[in-house]
Amino acid sequence: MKKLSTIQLLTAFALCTALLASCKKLIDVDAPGVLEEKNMYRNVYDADAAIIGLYGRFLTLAENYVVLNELRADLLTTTTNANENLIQLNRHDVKTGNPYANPKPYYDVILNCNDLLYNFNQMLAQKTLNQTQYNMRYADVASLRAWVYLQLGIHFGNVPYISNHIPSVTSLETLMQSDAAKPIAFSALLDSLISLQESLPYMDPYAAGTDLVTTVDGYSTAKFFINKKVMLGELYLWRGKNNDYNKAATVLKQVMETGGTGDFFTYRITGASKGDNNDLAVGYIRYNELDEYSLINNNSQGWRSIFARAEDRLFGYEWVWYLPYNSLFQPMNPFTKLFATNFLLKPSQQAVDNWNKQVQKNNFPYDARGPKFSYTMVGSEPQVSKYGYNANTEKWFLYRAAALHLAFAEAANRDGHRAIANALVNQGIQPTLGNRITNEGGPYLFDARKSDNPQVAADWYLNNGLRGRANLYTVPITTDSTIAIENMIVDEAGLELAFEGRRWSDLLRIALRRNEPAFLADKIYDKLRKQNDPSAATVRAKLMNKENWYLPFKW
Amino acid sequence: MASRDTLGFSNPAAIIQSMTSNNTSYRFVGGVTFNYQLSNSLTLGTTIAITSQKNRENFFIPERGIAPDTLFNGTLARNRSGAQVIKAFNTFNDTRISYYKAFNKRNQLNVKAGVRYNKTNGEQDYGLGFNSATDQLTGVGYGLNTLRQIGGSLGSATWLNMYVNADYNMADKYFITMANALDASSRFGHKIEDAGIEIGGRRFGVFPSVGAAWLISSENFMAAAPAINLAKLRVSYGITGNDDIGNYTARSYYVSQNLLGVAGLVRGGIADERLQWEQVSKLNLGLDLALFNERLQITADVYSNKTSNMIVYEPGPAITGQEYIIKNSGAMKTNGWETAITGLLINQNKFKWQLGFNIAAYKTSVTELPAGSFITSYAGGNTITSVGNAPNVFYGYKTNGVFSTDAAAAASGLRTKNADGSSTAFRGGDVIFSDNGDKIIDENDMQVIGNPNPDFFGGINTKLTYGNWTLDALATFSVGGDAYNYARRQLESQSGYANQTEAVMRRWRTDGQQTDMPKATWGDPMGNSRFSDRWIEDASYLRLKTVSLSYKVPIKPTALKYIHIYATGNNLITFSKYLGYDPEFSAASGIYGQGVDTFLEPQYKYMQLGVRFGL
Repeated sequence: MKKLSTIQLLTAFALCTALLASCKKLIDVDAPGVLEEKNMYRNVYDADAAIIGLYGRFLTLAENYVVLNELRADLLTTTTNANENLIQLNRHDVKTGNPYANPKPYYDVILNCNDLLYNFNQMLAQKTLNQTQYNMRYADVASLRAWVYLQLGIHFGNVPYISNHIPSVTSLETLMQSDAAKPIAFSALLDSLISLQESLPYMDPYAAGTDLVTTVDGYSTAKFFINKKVMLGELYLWRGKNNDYNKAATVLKQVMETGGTGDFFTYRITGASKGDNNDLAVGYIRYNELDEYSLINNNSQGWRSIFARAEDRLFGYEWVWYLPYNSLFQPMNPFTKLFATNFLLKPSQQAVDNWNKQVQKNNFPYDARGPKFSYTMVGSEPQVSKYGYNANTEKWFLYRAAALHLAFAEAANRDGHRAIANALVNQGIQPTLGNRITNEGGPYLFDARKSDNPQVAADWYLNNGLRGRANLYTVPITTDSTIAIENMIVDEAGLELAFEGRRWSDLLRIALRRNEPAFLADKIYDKLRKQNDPSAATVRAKLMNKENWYLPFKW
Repeated sequence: MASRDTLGFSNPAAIIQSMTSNNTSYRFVGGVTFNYQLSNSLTLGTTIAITSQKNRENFFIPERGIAPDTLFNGTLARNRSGAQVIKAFNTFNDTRISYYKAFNKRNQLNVKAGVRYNKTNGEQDYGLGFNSATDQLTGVGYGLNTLRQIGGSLGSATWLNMYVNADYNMADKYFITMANALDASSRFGHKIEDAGIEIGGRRFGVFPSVGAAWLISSENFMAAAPAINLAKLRVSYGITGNDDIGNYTARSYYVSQNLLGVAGLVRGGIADERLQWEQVSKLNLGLDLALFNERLQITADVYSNKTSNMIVYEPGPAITGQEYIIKNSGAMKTNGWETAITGLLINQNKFKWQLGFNIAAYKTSVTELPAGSFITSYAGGNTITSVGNAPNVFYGYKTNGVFSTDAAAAASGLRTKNADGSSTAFRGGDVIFSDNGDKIIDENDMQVIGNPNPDFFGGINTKLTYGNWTLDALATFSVGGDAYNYARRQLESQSGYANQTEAVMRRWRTDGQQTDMPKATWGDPMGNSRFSDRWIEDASYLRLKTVSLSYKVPIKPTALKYIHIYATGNNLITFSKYLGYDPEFSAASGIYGQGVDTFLEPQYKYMQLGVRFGL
């Protein structure tokens, strides 16, 4: 009997052991410190959290964006404090290991974009997202990914286009073996991005009422998200094939008319409000226009307030897309370090000269957007001031109405509507083209009529043009050619959008379009020459070869 | 009390007097074992143990006398406070069955099989506060709301091990041990391929081992050698594995990423779901000898360990955007030997003298590193891990003294690379760095400049007994290990206002002066104090670790069984050329900090005088 009980016990013991071993639950533990894959993407709130996280990560690209797009171009240069990495960028002599030439931060955002897009598809299939929720979110993330890829293309030329999610190292190894991991040409990249962007199911900003559109820490999130139509328009401008310019003008025009009929202000670039100066224009106190010190130069009025004003009505007239910095939250504003505290970068002599070549309508021999607003003299050195006017409104400038109008003008000019392009950049539709409807068909219909009898106030009658808003005379166009107007548009972009991270892409796009390396090379040459940089001629020779327009994709 | 000085340096007295720093730890260990004798040869047993541990730490650094710190957003932290709680709870169970059988009195079989299970839960929470209104308000809660930082982490892991061991003893001459273990851990990936075996949907690592020993002295032919009391030859081979790969490394997960004050979620890297145990195969050969009535005992071992599937942080491909991807792709080998000799030199009734000596040495070298060598920075110094070398050897610049004249410096043509990419020529009083031939001293001139692992190490112990008096002594030594004296680098850099050692008195001052100490320069633009062999020192030492003299008071053992009076001295003398406080500094717990002396607390010299009563 005792023997039997032994055997029974043994059997019981063996069973217990087997049970222990087979019970996966015994081994597996939940991961309390992190959110496991299986617990993610269960509902729309998870999807929204992923989008918030994505934009949080995206914010880390800000420094690279401004440094690469400005320092490689002609308006920004290094100070004596700058380190080797910045100097290499300035001289187009980037060596392996330069952290600004590291594509990884971009691909980190892309990895997250791909993860979101894949999971949104899964969620739609599982009906944890409904079609409307899916459309808005998918389009947003896909557009942001297009933005990041466009930046990669601009700076690295041929880059791998990864559009699949990479869930694990196993799938990464498969991917690395496949052709998808190989770089593709910039033109092929644009084709892929455009065909996806055209197919997006939703092109408007998040609808009001979506949880993502809310107020956090005092900021409205409505303009935190990329504008999908602007993205598409920019892509068309980059490709410039067939009727891409017309398509670009069409989508950009839709954004320009965001406010709809009866909104004379939103994204329409209106002029100075001379009576009270509550505007976004370069203005002076009324009847004191000839007094330099009566310049409207504060954080809540005039052109400077574009960068420094609180989020109010006028803020909404100009800003299309921005992301704020706040000293209470990471990451810290990287521009303070670059332009002020460490003073690593400063406006180039070329940029200073460009502004000083302009003449204001009060005949001051400069463009106040430069010496008064974009930079200030600290001792004998110019210091970029756009980013530092108001500690409470620091932000990454991503897109504003001025860039929108310049992009539209660029498209219109190439699409054969030079007069409209010229009007938008100079003094506005009505002042240039008259009190009428510019009925040139499609996106080129601007109703700029204004009359008291019959009472008509059309949507575009207050448009004052970029130079009109900046209180500048019209640029005389000696030869009314597409090229001349395009040059004027690029020059104006340099004056208006300097240091906002758009310059290199503007120069590169035009040089690519015209297949004219000298267009780009001469501008960089002038910058270096004016600061007596001994490498100026070498750099020019280098940039005459298209291959050298791109950073080495080695990491 | 004086405040901080005009140069912004804290008053050390303020730190000693008014800084508070408390650490309280509680630890509970409880265990219970049941054994049930099923029959004469079978025993069923189980052990259940729990460990609960809690550490509470808090500190306060006042404003007065102490230089302010700068926070991430540029705010000056005038005073600082912090509190941290770390909790760990561990449950362990070992249930086994053992079988013992003696065959014809001379052969014995002992088999044990069982299951071990371990579950750990950890939690860490901390808060940091800054700028409370006065130095009297020392809690984290008094700091400014806007600056307060809180954080923490949670960890959880389980480990399951099934094992079987069999010992067979044949005629007290031949001993055979065989063991096998199957290990599973929550840390292992879910998609391990080609390794271990799968049980119930989980991969288990298989870790067999086998050992044999031959007691030669029990053989009949050894009767001819009566001087040999014991001779035992041992050999063993086994494979072990560990799950020390991070709690969630093998899983795909999401981590928090803020946008302003809103918490969002982003991918936490790309996980390798095949991540498995690091595996070590160990081969050991040993000999035990006891001679002359066991008055001389010798133990010697040689071993060879091969580590495979070593965890490596491989740089991620650019298209992943990841700095690192963690993989099981490295390999390493360690060969070593150790030996110990103990002799009872004098063995009289009243007077006994025993002397022991042990020495050991090992060599480790990395054998596989698919992603190439990598450099790790710690305390301003670099270590490199590369194939063919020990892991984490010091990697920096070699120096050859100091230029005594400007002319000599100019003749060498050497220049240092500046932060902006330009270069500046060295001059008299600058350090002569070894150059690879391009005349520019930059990161390409870095080389291996030291190895923190000693060539050999060991100890000497002795015990002298005379009547009721006993003298014990232990000395330890270590030879050939290098240390990076970060503390001395701070004290001899001569680049700022900080206090320096007397050695800087002999610094270079005039052209033609022959010295080994470079000139003092504000900010050190030439990088004379860069991480070089100037700061690498030989940390060999011989240290009298303990000396103890005790006296047994002669009493009649009654209720009071004995009285011992003793005096012990610890760390009394150290012979070393090391210039820091202590060549045997307690190294950091991580492997990267090995051999780096970051002002680590020296082991202090102390004496104990005591009486021990036996009841």
